[in-house]
Amino acid sequence: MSTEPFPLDETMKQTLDDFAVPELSSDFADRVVAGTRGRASALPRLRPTRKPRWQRSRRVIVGIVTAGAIASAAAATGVLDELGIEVPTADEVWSAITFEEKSQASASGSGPVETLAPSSEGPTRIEGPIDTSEELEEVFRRVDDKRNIRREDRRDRVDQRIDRVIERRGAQGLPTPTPQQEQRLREGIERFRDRADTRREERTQERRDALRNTLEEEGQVSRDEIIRRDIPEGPGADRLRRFRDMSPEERRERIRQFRERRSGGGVAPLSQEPIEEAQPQTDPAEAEAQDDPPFPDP
Amino acid sequence: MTGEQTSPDCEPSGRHSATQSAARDAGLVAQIAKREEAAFREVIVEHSPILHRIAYRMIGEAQEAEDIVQEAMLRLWDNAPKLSQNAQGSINLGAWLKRVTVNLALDRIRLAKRIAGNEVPEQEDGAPLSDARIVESEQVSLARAMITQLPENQRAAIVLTYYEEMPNSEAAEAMDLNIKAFESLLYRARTALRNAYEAHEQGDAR
Repeated sequence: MSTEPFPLDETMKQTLDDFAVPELSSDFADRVVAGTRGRASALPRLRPTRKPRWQRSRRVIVGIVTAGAIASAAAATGVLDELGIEVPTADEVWSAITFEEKSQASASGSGPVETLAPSSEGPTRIEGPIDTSEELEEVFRRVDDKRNIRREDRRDRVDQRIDRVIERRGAQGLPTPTPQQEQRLREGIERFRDRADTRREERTQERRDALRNTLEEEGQVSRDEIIRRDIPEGPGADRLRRFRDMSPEERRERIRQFRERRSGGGVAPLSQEPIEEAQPQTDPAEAEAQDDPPFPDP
Repeated sequence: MTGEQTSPDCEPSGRHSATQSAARDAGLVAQIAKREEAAFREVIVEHSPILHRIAYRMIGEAQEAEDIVQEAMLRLWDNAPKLSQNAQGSINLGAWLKRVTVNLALDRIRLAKRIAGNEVPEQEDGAPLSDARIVESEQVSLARAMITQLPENQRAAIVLTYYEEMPNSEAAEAMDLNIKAFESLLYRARTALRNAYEAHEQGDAR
């Protein structure tokens, strides 16, 4: 690029220089000054003034630390494939609620299915389709029991994972968070959990109200309605529907292929495997809550 | 380009250093922020000619150029409290006004394009100065046509560097561009201008 002076021959220069400018109107200054009369003041800024750099930096650091904590949580729950992840069939989910005998599918080895201890079974027995409000509420109660167990288990694993990461970094001579930083980190995770729980609880209640209405209007609630998990529209929805329509064997095979690809290509990005979706989906509470993100591309 | 009015902020006649000039400008802005009309009038008298030249050569229409300068000055009036607060005793008022003027002129050109659906029409206008323009020489019309046919950013680059003899760094600042982008723009503008001129010359030769 040329930054030399504008090269001009005399004729072109003469042409350009002839582009004269007329004088300003003689009363120009008066007009401008008159224009200020009754002029409204400038509008205030739409946004507040930027905070000092140290305050902005603090927010960035808190964000990074929180993101790191969430990443650790994601890793603890499946990203690194440290945990056994099995996707149960609908039969298995149902049997976990009703304590029925497991179906042949589950008995054929689709992985362990957690069931509540018999002592947690309430006085109401669930037999056949759910056609009384007592049975429906009993289902909800058992779902809540399982959900609480599962939630505590998840939290323990995340906490342990954070502990292990800190220990490992310390052993490797890498910087570790100070007790204050660690406390803030855990508080951040706790806030994140609380918000997620609140949202999940709201959706659960909405869904339960809908199921109560269904029972009232139709006289019964089918198994499929209880364990149905709506799939939000969006990228990957069709893929997830196909995945759910597969037989248990096909699903296991797809998961195995997915894990192979993942281990072959390094750790999958966190965004592809959020915390919740790495959980074993034997938890009927989560099935009911319908708030799990889609399973990653199997 | 030589011989026209000298920009007071480009060349403070050796009486003031740049620092002194910036301090003086800050003082004027502070007075305007207090709504002192005399200070505002002083700024108008001092800076309006160069702003008008810039606007006129970019737009090619005298009345519209005056409107742009008036709007730039009123923006100074509106924003003086904020400018004064941020100035901290030093401000280059000329540069600020040029930036506002160039942006206003670019906005007008773009608006005209949107309305017309193409380049700003080269048509006779009914403004009061039209009569005067009728008697302009053919050379003046040619120069005006060459400049106003350039894309708006190129127009601004030529006006600021050639006609106002601003250093590239100052012109880049007035256009909110970094220096590399501005030099690239200026190169394209010069090439386009030369091509236009040569095309005209060849047309005349035939």
